[in-house]
Amino acid sequence: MCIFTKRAIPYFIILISTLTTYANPASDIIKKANLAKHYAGSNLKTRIAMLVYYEGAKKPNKKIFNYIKKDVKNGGKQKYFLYFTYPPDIYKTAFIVHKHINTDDYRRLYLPASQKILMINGEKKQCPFMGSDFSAEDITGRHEQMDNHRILKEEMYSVTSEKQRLHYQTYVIESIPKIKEENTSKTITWVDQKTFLPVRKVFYDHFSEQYKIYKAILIKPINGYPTIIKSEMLSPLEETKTVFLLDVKNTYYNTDIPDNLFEDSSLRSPPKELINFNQNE
Amino acid sequence: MNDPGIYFRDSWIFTGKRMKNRLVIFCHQIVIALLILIYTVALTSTSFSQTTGQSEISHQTSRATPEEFKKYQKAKTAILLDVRGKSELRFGKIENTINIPLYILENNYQQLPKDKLIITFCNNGSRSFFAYEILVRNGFKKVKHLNIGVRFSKDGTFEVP
Repeated sequence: MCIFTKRAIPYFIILISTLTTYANPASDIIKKANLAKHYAGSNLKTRIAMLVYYEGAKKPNKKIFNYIKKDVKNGGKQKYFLYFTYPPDIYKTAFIVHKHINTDDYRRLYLPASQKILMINGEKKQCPFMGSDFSAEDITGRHEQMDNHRILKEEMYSVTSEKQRLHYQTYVIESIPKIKEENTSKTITWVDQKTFLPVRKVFYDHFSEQYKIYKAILIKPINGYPTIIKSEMLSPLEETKTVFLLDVKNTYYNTDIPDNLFEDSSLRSPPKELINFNQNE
Repeated sequence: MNDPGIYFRDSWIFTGKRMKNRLVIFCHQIVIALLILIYTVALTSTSFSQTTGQSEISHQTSRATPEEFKKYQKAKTAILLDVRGKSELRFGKIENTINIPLYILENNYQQLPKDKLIITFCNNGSRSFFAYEILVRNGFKKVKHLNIGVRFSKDGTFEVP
């Protein structure tokens, strides 16, 4: 009986912590935000322009890539395929991510100039993505169970978009990683109460400095799903900024996307019908 | 001119001593052509195998080993290029290295010398690979990348696992 009790203790702790997580309204809000931002539709195919601004540059570094994601399980495992089409020197660069919840992600990068497929460390999700201010985790999302969340307040958040002032009634949530992380000590997220999309997120480092600030600039419904059309990530310490711009005319939810697109073989030669968009639009 | 024999003697179907000579010349020509063909084929296959060999070698040697990285860091005989962002230097900076963030390197690789070995590195091995690609694409031939992330410490020490 005594042995049984001892063995049961860890399971009991896990059960209690899981129940506490789910009972926490802050966790629930972050979960909904995660679902709204990263799991809208069973799959998504779009084209994104990524503009990196930095001090001293005459014009931003511009990259365009096709972004295809497919959910294996809603709120769980996902697969991503990113295919770069601009500028010409990185044309055909491809990136596969199999996002897992409890284990490391599977990531492969193909660089056509050297014709190499590189295995990328799945642990380091917070490393910058293709020289931008966004990390891989910002693009593929972070599971709510990785942090302890609490609601700080509710407030009206305003942002200027296309010469318009947009106002969002938001929940302000503080999230602290359960396991200490290399870059982030905590984040504060402003979640829109209407769409549950995160409209602002501030990342703090271990020096308690804001090292990244995310803003959703423009949100529009596409196929009934509220979609972030324009967003930016500012790095105050780095003095850089990256803007993500979605090509609305080439954004499709719930299309037919085969599973084999997310295999290593697709890195070198992805199916043309999936990577070709209408360039004139 | 009226003698048809003269005409036939000059033609290629003429039989006799002249025909023999022509046959010999023809054979010589074939032999020379064959020799040229064999030589060309041999040359092509050699250069092909050399190219393949080189690409395999460059494929293998484009990666710097942790030992190489440590050796060059001490010897200062190569440029060790840290491609992390400026703010990441707070987590530690290695002596005898230079920092050019990846987003700046894309437009500012010209400031690096092409005659010196450059080893790119970062904290997880992906940015260093991108940096390697940028340099190779822009005509740098002596470039390697450390495909393992470096663990930095604030006191300047580092680990390459």
